[in-house]
Amino acid sequence: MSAEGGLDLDEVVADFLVECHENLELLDRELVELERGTADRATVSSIFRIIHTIKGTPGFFGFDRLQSVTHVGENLLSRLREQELQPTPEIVTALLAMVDAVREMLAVVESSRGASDGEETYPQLVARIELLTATADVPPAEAAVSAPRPAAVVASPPAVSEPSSPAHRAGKVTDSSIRVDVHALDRIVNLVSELVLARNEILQLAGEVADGRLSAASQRLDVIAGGLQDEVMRTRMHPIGQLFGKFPRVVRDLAISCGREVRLVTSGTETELDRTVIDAIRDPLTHLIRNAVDHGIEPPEERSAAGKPTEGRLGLHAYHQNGQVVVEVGDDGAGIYPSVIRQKAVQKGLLTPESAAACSDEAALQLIFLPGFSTAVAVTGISGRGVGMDVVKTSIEGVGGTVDVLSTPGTGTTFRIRIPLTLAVIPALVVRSAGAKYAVPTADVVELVGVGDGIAAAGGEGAANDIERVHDAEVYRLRGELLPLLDLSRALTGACPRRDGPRDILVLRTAGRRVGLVVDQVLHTSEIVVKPLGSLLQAVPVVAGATILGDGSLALILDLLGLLAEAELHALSTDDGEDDLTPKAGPAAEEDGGALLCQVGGARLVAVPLDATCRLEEFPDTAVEWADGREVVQYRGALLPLIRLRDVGRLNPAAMGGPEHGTAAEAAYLQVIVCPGSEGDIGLAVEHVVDLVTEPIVVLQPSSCLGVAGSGIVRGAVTDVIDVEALLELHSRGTAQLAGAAA
Amino acid sequence: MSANPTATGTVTAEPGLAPGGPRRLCVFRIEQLRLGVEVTDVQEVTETLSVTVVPMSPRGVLGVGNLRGQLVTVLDLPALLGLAPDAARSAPEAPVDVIVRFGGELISLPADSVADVLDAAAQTRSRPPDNLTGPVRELVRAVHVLHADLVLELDIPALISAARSSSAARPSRGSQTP
Repeated sequence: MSAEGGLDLDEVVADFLVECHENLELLDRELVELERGTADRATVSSIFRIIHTIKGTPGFFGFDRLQSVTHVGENLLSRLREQELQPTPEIVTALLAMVDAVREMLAVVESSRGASDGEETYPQLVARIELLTATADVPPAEAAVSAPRPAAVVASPPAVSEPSSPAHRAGKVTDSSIRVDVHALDRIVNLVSELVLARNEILQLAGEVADGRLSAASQRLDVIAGGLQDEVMRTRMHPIGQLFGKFPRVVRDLAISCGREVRLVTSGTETELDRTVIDAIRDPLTHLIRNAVDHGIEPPEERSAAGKPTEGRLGLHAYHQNGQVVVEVGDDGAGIYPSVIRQKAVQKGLLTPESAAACSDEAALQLIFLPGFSTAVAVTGISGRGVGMDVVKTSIEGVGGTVDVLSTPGTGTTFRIRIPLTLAVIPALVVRSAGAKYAVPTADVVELVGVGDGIAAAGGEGAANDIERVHDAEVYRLRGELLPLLDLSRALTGACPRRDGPRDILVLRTAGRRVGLVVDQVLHTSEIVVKPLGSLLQAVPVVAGATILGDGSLALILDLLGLLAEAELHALSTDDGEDDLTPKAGPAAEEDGGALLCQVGGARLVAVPLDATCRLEEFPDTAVEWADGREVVQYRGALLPLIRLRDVGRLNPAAMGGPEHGTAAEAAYLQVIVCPGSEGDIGLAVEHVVDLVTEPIVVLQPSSCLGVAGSGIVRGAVTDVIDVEALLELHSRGTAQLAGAAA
Repeated sequence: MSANPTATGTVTAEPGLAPGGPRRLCVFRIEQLRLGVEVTDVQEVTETLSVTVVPMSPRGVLGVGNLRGQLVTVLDLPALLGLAPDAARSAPEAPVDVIVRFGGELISLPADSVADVLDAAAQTRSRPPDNLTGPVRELVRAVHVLHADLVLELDIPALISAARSSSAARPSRGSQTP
């Protein structure tokens, strides 16, 4: 039987190949389990059934070689299943070799379009497996009892009446799922994205028209379109376990070839990710795992000398955090020594000795991501990481993700990858510059700073709240660091930026450096659907695409890397490695601590610990409504209860001098810090968020007020540190005490 | 720039002119020019889309527009045809966008007005006159004598490639773009 079978056969062969490939992946995993001794009887049976299926089908197509190789494997497995044989490493290795042989033959089948399964008959492999099958006849003592049958009997075809036969098993799977062409799914996703945009327009129109029936219908449309979008997005989601599934085999083979003992531990395999994202991180993740086994985990003798168990542990963990997926690759190996990295960087001419000495351990670790940094030759045996790390970083950043590394010398290294759930819809900030709207992916934005609005920064220590100039270059002093600025309208059109009135700075962290992008105003955040520009505009370096906003207008999505390259800002950091490092070290430090410094009730300052907050929002005063005796605002389809921080931690309002509302400085807008709580979010309302402070705040005086952790001095001014947890708890118990505290 | 009627040459067997039956041309007007594109290339004629200017785009491209959720690349036809900007010219009364499909993309040709759909028989079709020079020459596939008027039939692929190769507007650092 061969190619003359025609089109129908092609299809059958294609189905067969797809099924085989899926089964082989499962087989890899289960065989490794078998070797570890973690496999139960069900696993052995499952392995047996898979081989049996693969063996059965080729007979139908006339793939004799494929059949004969799987046949001997099946014999060996049947003895394992009957527990006449114990799985030894030799047996598992032979079976894995058989799986590889099957893969090779399937590749031939695929390339010959089902005409042949190749010429290779794998005589050595067949002989080895037959030998292993036969050794059961000279069994070790314990197997002797259970293996009384002669080899001839064992080699006979297995019982056809196997209760859970392959057909039976396959039936279960196919009943509940169908195969869908990925492109068909992509088209559906696009159409749904369009539908969502159309819905947004309808909602906006319905709001303007104020017709009861129209708004009822549009609300219904809203719910349905939203549900549809969720479901469609979900169909593109795959559990990351699918990707993790191939790693046990990779780790096993690598461990054997490098002479390591490695146990792979995975968790969070059910974490779901968009298919395109999974595809994009496959190679970087494989690379990190290879590195961990090859260079991270020490050889057994070194490990026992260091007092560690000889078996190294390689952890692969996935979980959701802040709307992103985090994947961690961690080992308990030798770790990375910052001193070695520094030395290497100086050798490679990436750093001057002075700047190397000045850079922190944490910053030194990030050096491994620099192109041209390879510690492979010089430091093998200590760590040796860095081979192609820049490639890992580039490909992860290519899908809007980030990667960083944590390491403790002697105890291990962890790489943490953060990636967006999906590429189809991305969160973005919509900004206005010179009359046009632009979208900036929030993944690139570290923080927002408002300037030129005449409000002096509190504390004042070197924080002149305005744009300054160093010769020709515009800069902003951000917490004592000079932030190079790029004016968006000037960068795009060459127009002179306006100099009066308030403006916003987006502090961007991209390609390892920090730049402030100056825009007229940050309008709002939005989930945007990325639309590529037509071929005529593909060459435009500064624009990555466009998106349609709720009002039907277009906003261009900025390509920040292109924008910076166009503005020739790259010259800023390449000369001196130190510049490259400071930005990376900065945000990492901020993540671990820091607080939002806010002004409430006039001149009073409070600090809200950053780790308790999730975002900042702004609402007009008129948006505040009452529900159940509490102040609330409508927020993302729910009610966000507000706690006005000016009422928190005040024993005697009268002493503070009169009513706080109605002063001239009172903003018509409320700044609200949204804090996630176990029973829903709460919003902390303040008048003005002054700044982000990163230095730790030392509490000098504990507080006797509910909701205040204590008071300390921040930038020369006494500041109350808010205890968000206590506020959340108070909120869940009701507002009675809070009102008491305020009155 | 106007085509000279006396220069219209012979009709048949001209190189570069595909033979064939009657064509239907969608005819629109920009200033004094009457231009036509084959109706089979035209998706629709809409009222003028609002254009979002794309910085650093080729000069032949005005920007992008939103046609019911699809992105449309809007060409700057006067610039491509080399029409001098006429400051005194009053705004057209009924401007339209002629939306054509090209290789799976939507391209908009903004026009002062749309005239008609005309049947153009082979007899009315001739090669662009030899003395027609300048950027227009490359972009015109044929000239049609229809009723009293001359209609220039645009060559869409040539138009697209002219737009693509038109130099990009780049901001010069620190100064106003000329």
